[in-house]
Amino acid sequence: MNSVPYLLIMFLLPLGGVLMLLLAQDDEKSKGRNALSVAMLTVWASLVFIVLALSHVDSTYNHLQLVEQYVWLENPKITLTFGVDAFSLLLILSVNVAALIGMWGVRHFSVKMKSCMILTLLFLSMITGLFLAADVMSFFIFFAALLFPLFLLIGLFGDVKRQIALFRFMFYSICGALIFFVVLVVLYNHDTANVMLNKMADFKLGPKGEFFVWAAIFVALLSRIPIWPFHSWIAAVHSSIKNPLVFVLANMTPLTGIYGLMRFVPEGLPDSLLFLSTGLEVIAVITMLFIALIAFINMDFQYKIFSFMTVYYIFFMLGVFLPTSQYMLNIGFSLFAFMIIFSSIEVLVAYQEQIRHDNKLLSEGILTLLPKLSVIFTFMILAAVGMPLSAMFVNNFVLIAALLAYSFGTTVCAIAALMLVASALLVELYRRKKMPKLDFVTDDVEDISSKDFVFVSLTAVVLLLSLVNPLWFIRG
Amino acid sequence: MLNWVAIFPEVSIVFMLIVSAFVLWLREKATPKTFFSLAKFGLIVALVATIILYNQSFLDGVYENFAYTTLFKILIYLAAWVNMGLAVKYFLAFNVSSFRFYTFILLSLLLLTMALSCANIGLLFGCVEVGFLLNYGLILTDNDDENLAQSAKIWLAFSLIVSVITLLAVVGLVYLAHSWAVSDIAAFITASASDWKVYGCCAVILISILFKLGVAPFHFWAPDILGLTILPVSGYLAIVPVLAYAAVWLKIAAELMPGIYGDFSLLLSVFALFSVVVGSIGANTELNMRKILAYVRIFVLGIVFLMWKNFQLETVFSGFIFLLICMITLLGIYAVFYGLKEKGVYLVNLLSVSGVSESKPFLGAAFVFFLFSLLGFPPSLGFLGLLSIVHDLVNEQNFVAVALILVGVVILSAAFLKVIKSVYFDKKTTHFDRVDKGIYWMLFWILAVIVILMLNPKYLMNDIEVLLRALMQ
Repeated sequence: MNSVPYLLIMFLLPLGGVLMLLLAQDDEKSKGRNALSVAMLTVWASLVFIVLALSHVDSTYNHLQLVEQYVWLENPKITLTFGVDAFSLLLILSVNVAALIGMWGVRHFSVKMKSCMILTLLFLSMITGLFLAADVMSFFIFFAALLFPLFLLIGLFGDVKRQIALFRFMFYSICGALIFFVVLVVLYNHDTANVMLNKMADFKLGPKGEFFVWAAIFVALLSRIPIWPFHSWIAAVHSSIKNPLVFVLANMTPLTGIYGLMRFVPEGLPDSLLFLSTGLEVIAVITMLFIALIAFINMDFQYKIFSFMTVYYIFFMLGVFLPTSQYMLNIGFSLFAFMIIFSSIEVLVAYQEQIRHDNKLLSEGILTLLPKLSVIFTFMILAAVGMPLSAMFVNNFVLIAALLAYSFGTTVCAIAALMLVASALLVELYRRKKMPKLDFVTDDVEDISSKDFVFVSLTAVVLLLSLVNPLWFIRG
Repeated sequence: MLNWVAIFPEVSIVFMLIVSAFVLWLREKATPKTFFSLAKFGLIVALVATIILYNQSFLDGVYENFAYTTLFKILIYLAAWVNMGLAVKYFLAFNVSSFRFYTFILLSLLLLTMALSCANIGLLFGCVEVGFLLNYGLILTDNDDENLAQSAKIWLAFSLIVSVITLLAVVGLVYLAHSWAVSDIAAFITASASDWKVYGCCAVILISILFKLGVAPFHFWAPDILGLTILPVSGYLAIVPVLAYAAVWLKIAAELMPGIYGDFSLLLSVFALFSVVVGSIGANTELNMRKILAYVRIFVLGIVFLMWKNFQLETVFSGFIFLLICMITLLGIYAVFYGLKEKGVYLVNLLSVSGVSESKPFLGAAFVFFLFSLLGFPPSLGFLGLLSIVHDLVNEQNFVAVALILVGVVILSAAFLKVIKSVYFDKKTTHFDRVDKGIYWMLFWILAVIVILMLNPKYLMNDIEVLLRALMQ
């Protein structure tokens, strides 16, 4: 046990923020600013602890570190274990930074800000717990628990018009969690102990048992990723969320599935079950191409962002199935940059939509009226398509190279999907930067404030730093 | 030798009943709070005395207390106390006399807790049957709904028939065993296990308790009665008698039929699985929130009896824990119901609570939290209950039951999602009345108990197991 329980603090800090928020005043006069300030302060405090924890982690050591154990129950014996490596800390960091950017995106909103921030912090606490979990029980608890704030966030603030899609999304997520629950109990009963995640691949249950357990794990984890056959309802909900913060948080859920796959199968599946990963690979590639194609055709930018994210998530998932864990950090660096990029793009798009709505403008050429926003938005789109502006650049190349060595056909299809979705983003950027055919001259369109510009520029600096040296804050 | 001190809890309740009757007779105007205060005082004295006198028996072989009877009595008293505290809000809101309600509750509690200590079969079933029939008086409290009157009549008719048959079965056992003592009859039952008459009598007794609990297919009365009675009665009947009859069931299984209980395993499995199916599907067919909860109660009991089909410490314990957690959660949901009012009328229809979270965010959040807990979702307390149930079933290699329970949970989740949709996502159509601060305090305490038990489940999972172990010896 460490002298300072960093991991427990990281998990509890957002919950502390929830308590503070419950006490915070949120009247009409403050317009939710108190709640937003408390929530942002909490995330900043979390970031400090994450960086502190990162400074204690050896990135060259590919095992869980800073391990903390908490006995939850004596009979049956259930001990919850937290542990991290550089990869999981990178994910926690990126999730918190993305949430911070999302909060920045809703700073002008005033309706029910307190509830929104409480649910956001609850979600952050749960997803942090998930990335800290080192055993199956803890993983399941957080895997299922984050559904509660997520569902309320989407339902209350997502402005999702198709409630039936939301209903189905939640219903199937619950089913996925219950399937996982069965796996959890089967594993516990087999070993009469809480199984550590890194021991899963060594688990021997006999052919039938192994097939059942792994198939159930796959279904449960994949139910969070918009891959066929789960893509339809996830896409329907995630792509239609109008609130930038909720969009950012909701689109973090595929990350939980990918992280789960990475932790459960660090060195690949048992030989007898390799056909599962082959089947999954085929489905993944088809889904990638299909979604990228729709992104190219669809005019809704929100859907394009969703597609961009989905294609990349599936790309990272393919990386997870490489029969080695040596690319784990590459995926981590890439994901870190990816999360910052997508949340920034979403927030900047939401701002443009607001301007467009207030001034009754078309989206075509809107960036010509917003020069400061245009600079930063262009930067983010170029970083998103893989230009050398963030950690995505180098690490995606490393991943593609690794995938090529493993399966040529799959990699070619993945590259095609990545190019398609990048083209979709670039076409949209061009459309927004093209001189508009305005019927009247608008001088009163408000560009982002200097304060906001500095905030987003800082994220751009973080991205550039991640390109130069992704682990500048980690020893080893 | 008679130990009069041991029956102090029962005497305190009887004394309070007499005082209540005098107050009704002497006072010109009895406020709604008067009888609550009296009942509460009687109950607290009974509760404290039960804890202090946990190992004292009135007369060995007739009226005995053990660690587990104390545990059950404490739980019953506590659940009744919370219910009574909530119920007074109802009577205050309508400014009507609460004499009938609190008197019937005290009588019911007296008989049900007495049944747990009875070592004489006549006394035991006398208390159980009269205690159940008294509910008729409760059901009709302050309610002139014709549908309810009709349902209550049907309920009474069936209850009378069941009671008569049960008492005949008891007399039959006494006639065959030539004794009224539970221990003698238990020895006789074990010795003559192959006798069809003994089997018949035991089966009737068990089915009688299942009827009182509302386990399918004897559940027909539960949704109507719980859905149509006034809120305090619905809240009481949904929770307290369930705990009491479950305790009686365990007592019968352990003390009266230990020799042949296992032979009813198949029958109980069928009833249990049927309850799981009926409960989960039935909840989806209703718009009346109390009826939805009545079906949830049937579902929960189905799972409990799936565990209690065999009498082993592990399964009895996990079933009991699951039941207890669900009852605490139901208590929380009923507390929420007390806050859902429009122009003085308590809301029962799902559509009428649309958008409640908009004006009552704490009520809405608590409601959803309790629903997630009933589904067994972490990090709620319900997760612990579901975990212990599924853990034991997997241990038994009973994967069919596991699958059925989880399918049931999935079906139930569809019903709950409708509730959540209404509470959170639908537009507000009702102007909700101001919520009494007492309701918020009650909710706060229930949530505090849940949080404490979640953070440190030792109190629930280990300490109760120690007390239950005495039941198995």
